[in-house]
Formats: sequence, structure tokens, C-alpha cells
Amino acid sequence: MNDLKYAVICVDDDPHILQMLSFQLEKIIDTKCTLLEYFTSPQDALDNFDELLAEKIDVIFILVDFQMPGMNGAQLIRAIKLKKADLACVMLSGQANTVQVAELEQDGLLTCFVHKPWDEATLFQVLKPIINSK
Amino acid sequence: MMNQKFFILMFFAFAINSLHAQRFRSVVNGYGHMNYNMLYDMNKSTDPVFSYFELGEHDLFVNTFFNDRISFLGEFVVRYTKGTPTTFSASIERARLKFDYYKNHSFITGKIHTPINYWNDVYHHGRVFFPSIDRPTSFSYLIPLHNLGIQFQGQNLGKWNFGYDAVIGNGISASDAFDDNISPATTLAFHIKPVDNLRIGASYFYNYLTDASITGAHSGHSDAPSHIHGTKYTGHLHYNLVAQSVAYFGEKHEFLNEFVYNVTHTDTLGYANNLANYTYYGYRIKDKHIPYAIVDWMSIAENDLFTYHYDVMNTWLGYRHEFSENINVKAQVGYAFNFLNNSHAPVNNVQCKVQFAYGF
Repeated sequence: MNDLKYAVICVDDDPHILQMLSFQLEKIIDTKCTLLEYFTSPQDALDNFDELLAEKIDVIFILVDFQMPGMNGAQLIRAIKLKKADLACVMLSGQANTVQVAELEQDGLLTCFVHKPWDEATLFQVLKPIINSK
Repeated sequence: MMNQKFFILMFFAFAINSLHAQRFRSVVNGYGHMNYNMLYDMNKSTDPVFSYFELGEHDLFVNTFFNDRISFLGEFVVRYTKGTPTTFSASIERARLKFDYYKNHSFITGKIHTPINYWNDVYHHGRVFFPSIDRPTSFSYLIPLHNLGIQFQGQNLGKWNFGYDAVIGNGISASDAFDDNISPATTLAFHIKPVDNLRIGASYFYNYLTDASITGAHSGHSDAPSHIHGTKYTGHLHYNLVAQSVAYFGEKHEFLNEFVYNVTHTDTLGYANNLANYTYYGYRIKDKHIPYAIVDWMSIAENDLFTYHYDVMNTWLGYRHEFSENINVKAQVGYAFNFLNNSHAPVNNVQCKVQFAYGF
């Protein structure tokens, strides 16, 4: 019996960022019904997103870095939005291309941008309304 | 008969004259310890009990006085080291030349114990002088134990017996022969001894690491928890440490408190605040009998990328029996646990330790 109804996806090529996110997200997300998934490769995250959709698991939000090998955060968000247009997308970056981020915001594809290094309270302020909407 | 007296007088005259001419004197001491350890890990469902004897460090301590002003202090330790061909390794823990250039002011060069807090500054590796079996937990995680460089030191100045240390040397990531980090480590320390047996001190340490994954000969991080996904953070890191200690070892009461506040900064996860505190209290019931208690805790923040997230509290009850000043036995029982709710490295165990420590 699988009770997992929701999922959250975090994508960053730095495993230390993912570890820190796992510490923090576990404080505000009910892991009994929510699958927390972490990827260092954007392509792996994209492939996994298809699997989650096939299993009818509701993805609450995706949290992405900007600067990653192979595909940047803006490209990943655009690719994922084609699959699920109403998905909340949060970018967490210290060195984002401001033009590409501005374009994402203009196109209404970015829910929020959080600067690295971030503090827990700021991140929670952004994420809690998204989580509570489910 | 006359000739015999003449030769004896000549011998002593020559011997005294030689001593005066050289004024050279060496003192060699040896220290060692043996432990018995028992641990019951309540987080483990299978094989939760460890019980074993342990041959501890053996320490050759050499103190040489070349003349009234110049001396050498060396400390050479042999200890069990897993993975070496003989399962033992030798290390130079201290090798320093000291020049007393003016009254109680000295210049020191070589490998030293970083003058942070009381324990690392005052005790050496001989366990016979330790009030308890183990060093504070912060020694295995936060305190940069050694430094290789130059030191300016003052001792017992003025009516409060003021002391200072200023050290510049190779940093945490250095080996004993090389440091590829161009930024030296800086230590500043002060203490006062306002009354007999009491010492109050404070210290500051700073080191900029170009690659935080390298922990060299001068770090205490040998027991650090496993790194994230088996990888260490390789970016640059600012390492700041402020420490404060109060030590009182009187005829009846023994008290030691060591506080450490460590801040690391990385571009990746920002400022991480780490804290540790060690409190020891002992009471000498009779000449040789000293029961004691210890509360020793440490908290490493979740976003620390040098020591990595960890929290633990160790509580101990112990007893020290001093057969003489050169040999003692200590016994401790303790409980270790996570004291913060957000801990991700579970600790929950009961321990029992016995230590024979000796020096000669």
C-alpha cells in the first residue's frame, strides 16, 4: 500500500545544496504522503517527472538551481512547464542569468526566485503557501 | 693518598667547570595509557554491544635547555593506526624551539599546540595529567589542535599573571612539511591567573581555506561524521573560532569549563554557527580519591560545510584514583544522545570506560 500522493523535486548539481534542502524541507513537508526527490542532473529530473505523472503523483513544486551542466534552470523549467503548466517553480541560485530569469518571470513561468545563500525563514516564507495550497 | 685526593678534586673541578661551560640539560619523560571500553548502542538492533581493550598513545617527551634562554620541547607519539603495515604510526606532536628574549616574553618557532582554551594549551598527550579519560568533544571536530609557525608568548605578567599568545602559522589544511594555502592561520589568546590555581582565558582563531576538503596535520577533524554523498565540499571557506575557558584546580575543588563558538562561511550555504561546551567538576574527597562529573555538548549547524551537521551531548560520571602523581586509574560511565530535535546523525548509547595512565 503506497500512501505517497505528492512529490517535491529539487535539482542542483551541488550535493551539499541538496543535503541542506533535505534538512530544511523535512521540517515543513509531511514525508508520509510526500516523496522528496533530489537530482544533481536536470535530465534525470526531467525523466523522473514523466514517471511521476504516469503514476499520477501530484508534484507540489520544483526547486531548481540555474547554473547546471547540460541544461540550465530556465531551460528545465520551460521543459517541465510544457508537461504540467500549473506547476509551481522556484529558482534557487547565486549566479543566475538575469535576462533569462526576467524572461521566465515575464512569461509567468517562475513562481519565485530565492538568492543563494539563503536562510531557512526566507525559503519557508516562499514554500509554505505553495504547500498549503494542496 | 695525596695523589688520590688530588685526582678526586681535579675530577670535580673539571665536572663543575664543564657544566658551567655548557649549561646544557635534557629531561626525557615517557607517558602512556591503556583503556577498556564498553559501548551499548541503543540505535543498533543487531550487535549493539562493543567491549574491548585498547592500547593508547605512548608519548616520548623531551625537554632540552641549551642555555638560560634557549630551549627545545619535543613530543613524539606512537599510536594505533588502522591500515598501516605495523598497525601503529609515529607522529611529531610538538617540536618547538623557544627563545626567552626579555624577562617573561618568548619567541617560539616550530610545531605547537594551538593556544586555544585551557586543555590544548596546558595538557600534553600524557593522559596521566588529564582530569578525565577523554578530551572534550570539540577536540575531535572544531579545535585546530596544532600549528606550525611562529609564536610570541608572554607569561605571568603583572599582579594578575597576565599571559598572551600570538601565533601565525600553516593552517588547518597544511601538512607538517607543506602548505599549498597561501593564507596563514592566525591565533590570538589571552589569559589571567588572578589567584592561585585559577586561570581564565579567551582566544580567537582565523583561517581562510582555499579548499575546505583538505584537513591536514593541524586539524582535529579525524572523527568528523561522514561527508555528504561521500564527497567533501571543495570550495573556499572562512573558519573563525572564538573560545573561552575557566579552569580552577584547587586542593579540594576542580572545575573546568571550555566554550567554543565556531563560524564557518561559504558562498554556497552562507554562515554556519557551531557551538560546543565542556564542563568538568571534580571533588577531592581524600588525597587520592576524586569523583567527578562531566557535561560535554556540541552542535554543528545544518549548513556547515567543514565539520558537517552533527549534535551530541555526552554526560559522564567518573572516578579518578591517583596512586601517585605518575600513575592513576580513571573509570567513567556515560550516556550520549542527540539533544537537538533536528538531528540527522542519531546518537543514543551508554558507555563505560576504564583507563590506566602513567608517566615516568
